[in-house]
Amino acid sequence: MTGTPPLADVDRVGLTLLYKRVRNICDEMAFAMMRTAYSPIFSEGLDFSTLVLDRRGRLIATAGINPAMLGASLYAATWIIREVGPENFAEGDVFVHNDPYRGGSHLPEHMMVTPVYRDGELAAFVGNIAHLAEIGGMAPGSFAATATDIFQEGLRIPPTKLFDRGEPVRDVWRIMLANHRTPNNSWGDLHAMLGSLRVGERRVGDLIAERGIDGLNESFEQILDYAEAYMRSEILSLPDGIYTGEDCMEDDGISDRPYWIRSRIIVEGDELIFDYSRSDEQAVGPINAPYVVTLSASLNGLLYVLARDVPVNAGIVRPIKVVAPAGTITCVRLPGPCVGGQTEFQPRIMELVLGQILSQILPERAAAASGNTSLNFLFGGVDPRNGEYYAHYHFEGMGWGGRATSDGNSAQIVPHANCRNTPVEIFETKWPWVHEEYCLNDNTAGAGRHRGGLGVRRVLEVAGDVITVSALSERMKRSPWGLFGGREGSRTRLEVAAAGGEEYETFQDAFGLVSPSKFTNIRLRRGDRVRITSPSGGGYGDPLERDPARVLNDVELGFVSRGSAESVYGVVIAGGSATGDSGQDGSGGGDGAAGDPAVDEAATAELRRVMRDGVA
Amino acid sequence: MAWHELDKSWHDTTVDYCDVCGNLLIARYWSFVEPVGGETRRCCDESCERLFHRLRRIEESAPGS
Ligand SMILES: [Zn+2]
Repeated sequence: MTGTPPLADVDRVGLTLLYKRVRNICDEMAFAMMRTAYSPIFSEGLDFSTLVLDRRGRLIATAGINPAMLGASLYAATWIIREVGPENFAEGDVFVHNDPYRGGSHLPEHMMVTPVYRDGELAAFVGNIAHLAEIGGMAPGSFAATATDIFQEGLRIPPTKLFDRGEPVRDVWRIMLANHRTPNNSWGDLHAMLGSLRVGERRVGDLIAERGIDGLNESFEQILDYAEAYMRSEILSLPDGIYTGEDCMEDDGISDRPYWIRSRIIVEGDELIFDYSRSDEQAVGPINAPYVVTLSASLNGLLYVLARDVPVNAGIVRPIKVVAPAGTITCVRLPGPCVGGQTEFQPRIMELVLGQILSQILPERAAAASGNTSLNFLFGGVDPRNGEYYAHYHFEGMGWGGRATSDGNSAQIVPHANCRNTPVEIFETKWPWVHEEYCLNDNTAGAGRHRGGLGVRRVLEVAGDVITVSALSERMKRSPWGLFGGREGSRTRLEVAAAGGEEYETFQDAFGLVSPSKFTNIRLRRGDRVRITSPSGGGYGDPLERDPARVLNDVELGFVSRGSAESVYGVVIAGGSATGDSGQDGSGGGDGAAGDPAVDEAATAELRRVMRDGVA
Repeated sequence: MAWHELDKSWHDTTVDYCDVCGNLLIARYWSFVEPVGGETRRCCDESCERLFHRLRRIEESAPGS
C-alpha cells in the first residue's frame, strides 16, 4: 500500500501483501466467470463484480471491474446476512438476490453470496454481482424504458437460497427460469457465477488455513482501518466548504420533462457529506436511483480524483455520508421503477461530482463530461437460424471528456461502468443483425486544450423476420458539457430507416414516441436499419491553447476537419491533401496544396491572435 | 434514543427508509426524538442521528447554501 501513510503502527508490508492477495482472489473469481459464462454481457462486456467480504459481510476487496456496482457491493451482502441471520447459513449455501429495495442496484444485477467455513465456524463470505441479460418483464432484454413500476422490470428476488448445503433448490431455479425469456443463458450465467464463488471459496479457504479465522479477520479489520485513514487524510487535504452543482436527466420516458439532480458536497475536516436533498421528486419512469446507486456514483466521482490507490472496501465510506431522501430521484420509493438509474443516472451524478463540483477545488484532476450515457439498446426475438428465442442487452461506447493531462478516450463505455464493447463478430454470430457500418464519429468531439473523445456510429440491418427493440439512453437534448473554456461534445442519436429506404428518421418521429431516447418494444422487420450514434465528450480548456501539432495530428487522422482546425482551434495547415475535409460540419478549408501537411506557424499565431482579440 | 427491531411479518413486502440519509433500514433501526418539534425519527444508526444534527447546524450557520 503506497501513497499517504496513515496507521504508522501496522505492518504495512504484510498488510499490502495480504490485500493484494485478496484482490487477486477477486480477479481469479472474475476470470472464472468470464470464461464460463454463456452470455456476451459476461464474457465480453464484463458487466460484473467479484467480492471478498469478512464474516460480518463487510466488503474487504473487489476486482476493479465494474465500479457502478460499488454501492451494492458495500451493502447488498450486508442486507442478505442481516435479513437471513448469520446463524442461519450453512456450509454450501448460496443465496441470490437482485432486489433494489434491499440494497441492489437494479433488477438485472444479481448478487450471489456464499459463506466460507472452517471446522464449522463461519470465517468469511465471497460474493459476486452480475448483470443477467434477460430476466423477464415487459421488454426483451429487461430494460423497460417505459416501465412505471418495478413489477414491469422483471422478476424481483429477495435474499433466497439457490443452493442448500450444496444442493440446488430446484423450486427456486424453476421459478426463476420460467420467468426469464432465455432460460438457457440464465442457467449458464448463474452457474458461471456459482463457479466464480467456488474459486473464491477455495482461495479464501487457503488463507484461513494459513492465518486462522481470527487472524484473518483481524487483518481484514486493519485493511478497513487503513482505507478509512487513507480517505480521511485525503479529505483533510481539501479546503473546508460547501460546493454545489446540478445537472438533469432529460426525461423519464413517460413525460417530456427534465428531472434535476441538485448536489452539494460539504467538506468538514476529514469528513465529507454528499447532500442530494434538494433534488427533484422521483420520476414516473425508470430513471430513478435506489440509494446504493447514488452512493456508488458519489464514491466513484470522489475516487476518480482522490485516494486513487486506496483499497476499495467498506473502510472508505466511514468518513463519508450520502444524504438522498426517499421519494426523490436520488432514492426511489417502492414501487418506483429504477432500471435506468444504474446506467444513466449514476454516470450523470458521478460526472457532476468529479467534473462540475470537485473541479472547483481540484481543477487539475477534474474531467469534462463524457457522452455520459450507457446508450442501452435492447433487442430480442426468435432467431431464424435455429428457431430459438434470444435477447440481448447492448451498451455502446462513446467519447469521454477531456482532462487536464490528456484528451478523452474514444469509443469507450461510460466511465462509471468500465465495461467492454461487444465485438462485431460476436454480435453477428449470436444475433440476426448485420453491421453496415461501425466507425468513430469524426469531427464531433468537444474542442479544447484537451479535446473530448469521439463517439461511434453503428448501422445495423435486421437479418431476421422481426426483431423487437427497446432503448434507454440520454444526452439527446443536452450536450456533454466542456470545462474551463472547453466546448460541448455531441449528442446521442437513435435513428431508423425502413427496409429499402435511404432516409433515416429518429425513432421518436418514426413511431410517435414521447421520448427520443427511451422507448420499449418497437418491432422492426427484415431489412430495416438502425443507426446508433453515440455522443462525443466535452473539451477541457480553451481550444486556442491546444498544441497546433496535436491539431495537425487530429486532421491527419480524420478526427478534426481542416475547417474546424481553423475555425475552432485557430490552426492553419498548409500543404498536403484535403485529408479531414469530409467532417460533418462540411466546412472544408485548407488549400489542398502538394507536399506533407504542416502547421503554418505564422498564420496560426496571427489567426489565434485575431480569434482571441477579435481584431483583424 | 434506542435500537428497535423492524418487527415485520415474513410475508410483509414493504420497505423502510432512514429518515435522515434515505438508506434502507435492515432488520432494525435507531430512533431519536428531534429537539425541535419533538418528532420521532427512525434512522440507520447513531451516526445518522449525528448527521441530522450536523446538517441542522450547517443550515443554521449558512442558510440556503
Ligand atoms: Zn441513515
